[in-house]
Amino acid sequence: MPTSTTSSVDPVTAEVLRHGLSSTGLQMSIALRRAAVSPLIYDMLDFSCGLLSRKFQVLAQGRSLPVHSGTMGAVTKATVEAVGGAEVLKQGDVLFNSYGYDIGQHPQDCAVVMPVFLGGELIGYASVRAHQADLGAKAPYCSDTTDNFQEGVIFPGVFLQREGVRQDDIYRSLLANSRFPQALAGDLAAQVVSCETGARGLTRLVEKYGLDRFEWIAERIFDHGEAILREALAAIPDGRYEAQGEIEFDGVSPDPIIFDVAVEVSGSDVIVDFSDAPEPAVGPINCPLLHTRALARISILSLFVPDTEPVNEGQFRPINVRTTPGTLFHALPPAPLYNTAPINNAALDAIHRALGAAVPELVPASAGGDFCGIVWWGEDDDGPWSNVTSHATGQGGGPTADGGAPLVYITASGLLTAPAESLEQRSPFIVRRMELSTDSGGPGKFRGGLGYECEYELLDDARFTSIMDRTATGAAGYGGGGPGTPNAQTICHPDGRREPLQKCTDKPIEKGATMVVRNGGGGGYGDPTERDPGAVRTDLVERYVSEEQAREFYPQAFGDNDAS
Amino acid sequence: MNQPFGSPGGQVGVDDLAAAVKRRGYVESKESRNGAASLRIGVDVGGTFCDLVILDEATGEIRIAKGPSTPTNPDEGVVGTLRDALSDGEIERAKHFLHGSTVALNALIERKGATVGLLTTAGFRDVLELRRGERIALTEVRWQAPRPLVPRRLRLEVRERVLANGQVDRPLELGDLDGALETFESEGVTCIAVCLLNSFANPEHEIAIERALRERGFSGPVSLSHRISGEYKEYERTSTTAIDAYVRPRIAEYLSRLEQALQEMGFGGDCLITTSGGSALLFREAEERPFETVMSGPAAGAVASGELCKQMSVPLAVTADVGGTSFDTCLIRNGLPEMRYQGEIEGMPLQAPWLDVRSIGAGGGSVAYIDAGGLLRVGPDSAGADPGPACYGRGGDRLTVTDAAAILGMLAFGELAGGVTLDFASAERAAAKIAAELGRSPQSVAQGVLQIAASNMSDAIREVTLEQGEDAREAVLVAFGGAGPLFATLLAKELEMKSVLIPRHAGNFSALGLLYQDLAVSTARTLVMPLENQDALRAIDDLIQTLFSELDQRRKPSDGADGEICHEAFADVRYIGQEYSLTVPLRLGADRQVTSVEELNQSFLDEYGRTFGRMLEQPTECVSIRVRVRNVLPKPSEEYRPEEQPETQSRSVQAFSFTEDSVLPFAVVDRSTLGSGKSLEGPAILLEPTTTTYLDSGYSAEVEESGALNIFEHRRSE
Repeated sequence: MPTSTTSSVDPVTAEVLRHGLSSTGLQMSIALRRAAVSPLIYDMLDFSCGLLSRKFQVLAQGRSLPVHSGTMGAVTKATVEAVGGAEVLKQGDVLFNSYGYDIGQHPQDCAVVMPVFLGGELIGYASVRAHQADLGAKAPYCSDTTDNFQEGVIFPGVFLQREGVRQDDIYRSLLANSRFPQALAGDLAAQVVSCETGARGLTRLVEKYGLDRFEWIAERIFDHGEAILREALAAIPDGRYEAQGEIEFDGVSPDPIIFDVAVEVSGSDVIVDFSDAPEPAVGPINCPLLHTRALARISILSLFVPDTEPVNEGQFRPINVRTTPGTLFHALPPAPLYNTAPINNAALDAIHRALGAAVPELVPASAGGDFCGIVWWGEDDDGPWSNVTSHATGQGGGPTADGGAPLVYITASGLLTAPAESLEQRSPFIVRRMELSTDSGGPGKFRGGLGYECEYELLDDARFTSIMDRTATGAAGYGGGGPGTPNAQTICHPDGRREPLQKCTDKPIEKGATMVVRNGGGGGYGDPTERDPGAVRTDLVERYVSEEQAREFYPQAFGDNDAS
Repeated sequence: MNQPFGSPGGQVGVDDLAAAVKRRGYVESKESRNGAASLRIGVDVGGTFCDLVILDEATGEIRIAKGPSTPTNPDEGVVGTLRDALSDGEIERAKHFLHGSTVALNALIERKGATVGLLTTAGFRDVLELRRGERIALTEVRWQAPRPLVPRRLRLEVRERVLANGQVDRPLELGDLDGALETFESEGVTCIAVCLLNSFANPEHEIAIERALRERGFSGPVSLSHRISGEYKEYERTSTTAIDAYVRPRIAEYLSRLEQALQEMGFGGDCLITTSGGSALLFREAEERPFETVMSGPAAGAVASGELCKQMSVPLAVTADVGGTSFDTCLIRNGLPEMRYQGEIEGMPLQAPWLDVRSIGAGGGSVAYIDAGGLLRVGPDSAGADPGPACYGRGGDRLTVTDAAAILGMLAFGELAGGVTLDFASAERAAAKIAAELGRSPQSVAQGVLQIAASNMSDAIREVTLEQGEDAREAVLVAFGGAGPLFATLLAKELEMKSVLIPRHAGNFSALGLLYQDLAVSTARTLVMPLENQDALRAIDDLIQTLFSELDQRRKPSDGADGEICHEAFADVRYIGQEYSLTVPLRLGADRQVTSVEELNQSFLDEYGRTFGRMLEQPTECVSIRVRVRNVLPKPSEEYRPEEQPETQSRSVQAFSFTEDSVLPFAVVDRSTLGSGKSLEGPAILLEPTTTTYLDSGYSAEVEESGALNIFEHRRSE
């Protein structure tokens, strides 16, 4: 139930506006995907669209990359403040921001912010973060930067357009800093088109109700979002739940990074406590505060709120973070932050494991932990080419079911894996194999989902950057369940040499070599000896599990009383 | 009889309806029995009803009727409905029987299809399970992908490899089939699907496998991916091929049983079934390509709307097809419903022509409730056919959209078939529960339910139009289905649309769409090639000729009879580097030759500019070629003749007006008495056998020549 006095708002009007706002958010993402020229945007959802109130509250979001999704308020606020605050904004302005500490991640995830006016009055903002193909970092994709100046060109909140007029000095400077200026031009235009779509929708809705009434109803909608989440959170027993996370390689320094995280639950309030985090990493996995906040938000929402509930500011209210400035989870400039993907996954995983002790009926065992992403590029007879192969990962067994089919890790869900036939059309590749790995799922009462292997044979020399993590320890099991298999990437050279990989940037790979990517399995849930013998037999028939592994972990399926 | 929300369902209601059909002359026009003119019969089967439409090709007269459907053996319901509605010997005059069916869809939804064995390229047996890693509920950690149609033990590998350019990298090892067949046999496999990598570029290995399977004695159906889809992306093509094999026996059995039953009744014409793409296939072709019929349900309504737009020269329209459980909408430009070439069913992709009809869970039976955050919500849960809305008086106690409309007076007196009336008291009781919780009046809750449903529908329409770069305000709304006309003025107001069309027979409009379809066969093949020179022209032309000759082989000489034959070709074109392509028509010269690549390029640029509002400075490439051979069937052109009825006493009912925000007297008018050219000012409620039109204050309706109602906002000052 609503927590403030907004309960007097008519529940019908609030529902109509709530739906209208969420539809406007969706329309922004439709417009962006339709207009974008880069696959990372149109095919992989590497973006987020937000509609913000004057006070930078999230009114609505489009279908977005989950890990971006909790940042739009802070990103918009920082950008507006950078140019001098709301007072200096005029109709027809468009702001641009590529400063990692304002937007939360690498400069490529740059923000375009459009203030929205109605009758000369500011009524809110439409903002889009979208991953640009290149903004001038040391390589097209990096895993080894050591400060944020190596990560791309910084535009710390500037006017890209002033009262409808494009600021050519800024625009040309931007394009001049990109390896792919055409793609940048196209995708920037797409960000603006998406903002315009959001602005039109917001204007229509504010016109319908008047600004004062609109903002009053919006408060009611936030209260609603908050109430939905609080009702779910109230089911968690009060307490402090702790877990440890690990990044095995930050891309530069060889030592693994261990971090502690705790979730404090009191009533329906949750504090995700990162205050014991270690000092910032040497390599680019550091999280600015607004990014850490977004991580906490998606970690909690992904367990407690169904996808059908549109995200708004209210859902963020019960979730707070505690951090220590100058640490891994509250990094300060110039700590590098290009490649936060591995820490996104590790942090979400740790938060979920911590909560597993509190609400085991809701939290599955860990997923394989990474997308083992590789960005490739090269040049052939037709000119330069590039592509991205990212992968799904084995899902953890759950409280009531096995891990199921591999899915893209949840922080980046929306991303699609590339079909072999599409890769072979576009790039000098032959895909030799894409196959589930038998025995890769962690044993358990409910087995971890399988990981899988891909083999890419190169028909030409190429270069690549790999951002894979989790090659040493597999996805954790839960409640007696065993771990899944870890990730691995290996180059098989034409001369027979096998070269295991870690994260690497701008590395050459020669014609005739094969990259073997092993995507880890999910962790098992519960004691394997409690697994239904019938389920074990099915696993054997489907070859999800080998007889050897079955005999080791599931003796109950081979008992004397058992006919098979 | 008033039956506005699709499906009250259950035996009682159905019997009432059937009785009403007979008693009250539900059959709308008088039959013209004499003369040997031929008939065209359409039957659309839904979950509760068989909708029947009969066209007299000589007079253009249309008759409509309803009968109960029989989900277990759908053919029985079809035959029963025909027997009830047709007079003796009449069926012998029919030349075409056009059918819309959910048999294939239900086989997928209920997972009651064949035991399929899948053969793949070595290394790729798991394509169907790996999918593309997509988590449909983006942010739910517990979400799981649907189980693959073919379990892993029946997905077996054959050593071979064809490259993207069609070159054979590794020869086919036919010996691998021996072990596979042994497994298939012991597991009771009845259908085999074959999907090899890059087979669209070179199908030789798939063809050789089929031959070898026959040589080894396999006599069941074999679905080869290059024949089924011919397009690249192995997961999508494998999924399509597996779906084809999975539904094949059920469709074949059903269609042959139905055809036989029709023949026994004396029918001697062609039996046709509608496809997801909104055209018709002969039964024997559908048995060979059952995957094309999976989404035949909503397609026909879009086809009928397209035809209406053509007749009335409406350049841009959006449909609002509101039934018992869902709201379906489709964009129509220049009389052509928006077409896609990939759809998805139950989370499984399907590469086939597909009318782009989007659905949300908002219909007459959608249930209203208060959610955990204290807001009033409507749908997607539906009271369904059983028990149905509370006002059907069959034990339903949850408030639905229909109940809310009844409470507001929008359904006038609520007269149902055979003298049954809506149970207003039950509707009020259902609303009172929610009203008490919210501390509001039942009347205001009912208004809220209608407003919420209408705004959900409007948002869906905005999304559908925006995706194609169109503005909903510029479009005409075509409202039909049991509950569509009820929402007409609500949606027009919300979307600021200038005009709404309510076609004749609006409640049966989908079934009517069956009669507007052409016979068509189609196929596609991926051919990735830059659009830059004469080589491209030659390659595209060669492929088109190949595809046309494949279609010519598929069509038997007797097919479809007498209509004009159109050969049509389309190309998927994109900017090099992009993933999404646009499908644009290819102009063919004499001898079906492609005349110019520049022209193709230009139509792509035009289409791109129109859709996205700008163009890029990048070279373009062809991705796939699609061809279609269409046998144009004559379109019904029914002359609209209002029933001449004695002046009855004019009636009115107190109903809620959304534009005036108060309860007003609404005139209650029998729609069939309105002659063409006649106009009517709201507030009014128009009754007809299968739906109810709610004409709010501030709107006027004019009867077009076709009998369609054209609703528009009138100036208050006038």
